Amino acid sequence: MAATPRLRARGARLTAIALPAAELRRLLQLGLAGLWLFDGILQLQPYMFTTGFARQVLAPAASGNPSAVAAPMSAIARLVSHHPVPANAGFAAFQVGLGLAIAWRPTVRAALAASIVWALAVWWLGEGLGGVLTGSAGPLAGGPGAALLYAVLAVLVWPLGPAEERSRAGDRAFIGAGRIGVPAARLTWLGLWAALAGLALTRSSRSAQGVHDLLVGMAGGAPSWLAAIDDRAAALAAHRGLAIAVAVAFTCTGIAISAFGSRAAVRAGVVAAATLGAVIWVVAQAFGGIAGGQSTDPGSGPLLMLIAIAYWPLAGGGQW
Amino acid sequence: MVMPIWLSDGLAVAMLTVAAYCASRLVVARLTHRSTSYSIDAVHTAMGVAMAGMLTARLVSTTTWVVVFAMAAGWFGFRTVRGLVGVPSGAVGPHMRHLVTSGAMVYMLVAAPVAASASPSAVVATQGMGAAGTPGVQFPTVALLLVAFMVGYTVMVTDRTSRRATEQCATEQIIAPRSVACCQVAMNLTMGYMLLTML
Repeated sequence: MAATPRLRARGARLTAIALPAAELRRLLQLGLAGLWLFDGILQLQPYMFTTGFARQVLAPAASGNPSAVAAPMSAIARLVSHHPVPANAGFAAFQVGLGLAIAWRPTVRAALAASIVWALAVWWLGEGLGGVLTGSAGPLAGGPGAALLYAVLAVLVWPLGPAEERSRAGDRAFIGAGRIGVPAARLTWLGLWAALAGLALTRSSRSAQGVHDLLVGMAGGAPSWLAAIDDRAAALAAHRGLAIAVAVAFTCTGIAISAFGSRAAVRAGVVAAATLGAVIWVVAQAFGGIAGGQSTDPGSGPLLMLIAIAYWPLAGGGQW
Repeated sequence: MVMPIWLSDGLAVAMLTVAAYCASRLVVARLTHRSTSYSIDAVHTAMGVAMAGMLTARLVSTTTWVVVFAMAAGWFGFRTVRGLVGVPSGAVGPHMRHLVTSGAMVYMLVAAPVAASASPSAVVATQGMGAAGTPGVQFPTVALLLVAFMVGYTVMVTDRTSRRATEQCATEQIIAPRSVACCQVAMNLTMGYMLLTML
């Protein structure tokens, strides 16, 4: 009988821990839902209903990839080129549907599962595996592909049931570990940021004028204040491509290994990751170039920030 | 770059449907003495008609619509301020959100792409949103922020509607509260799309 109040008190503590975690997870799910909605609206831009979408966006992504990867991409590009209106309308409707279904609580699990499949399909057939195999896309240019990050985020924010939320409250260190567990979540973080570090050092990323040319390209079509930032950054980056690539790689490496450090180290890593994501999004990607009329997503920056938040150490979470 | 005609017409039909539904809510609430938010249903009706006109290049008297939505923004701004200073006039959040959506309508009407020898509002009135995408939109950062707002608002409305009926609806027995949320989702997405194509 005496144990009952203690158990009740313990249950109350667990509930107190679980509720903020559940709410934070839901906020991240809603962030993902918003990004899918944004994608769907972008997919409805007039340019996407022309053959230019297939010829200038889809088809070029296949070049440089191994034939096993490129052949299905070329086939999809041809198909879309022959039927641009129904294909694009279908893409847009599906992405808007994904966003609404993730935001609609009863369908969140099915929608997240569908979003993982769709994101991986887009990563391959639309983005050419994000240029990972061709070495053409560094982290500043969106590598390893925004679509892959959609899938990673969907896994990290997979919902738990109320009972599961309470039972796992004691051994969960951060939101991203909710479904896959702490070790797998840490390995995911390590793999993602190590990949970004590696992509920062590819030939195209470390070329003397690589970053400069990227920033100059993003300035075109951006609002004037953003173009001014890009122009200024491009001037600073001129002939400094190698130094910037090394600095980005060094930062990404530090972020990657931070997940295996102390709680303070993890916090520092998460802040660094979110900050780097924000800088990449604003300066290098100009908010995904959405003002240009040909963008299919808002870029990898917001996804890197949301993923970072999923690794923020929870108060009262499990052992680090 | 021109928006496909079937898309602009389809969205216009959807907006007119929303407008007709919101107008019918006003009538039903009046006849059956049930509760509804008159100001929100009225502004939704006006928005639906105006957006359909902008989409199909059949918007009559742009200046009048600017005045209508400026007045709506003023009304919701007044309600928001009253709520913030503690005067009991309902929740602040919905009024603030409708302040932004009314302001977005004003923005779309006055900041449309500038064509040579034509005023911004004349472009919307004569070419419609289907012709948007030409360079020259004024204050593009505002359009970007409004698109982000529309997406965020849509996500929030969908999440809240799926969680539970709002407390206000439960206590005041507002007519079909979920249908209002559906109308808001449709209008927000359409408005976000129209803003994006203006860039």
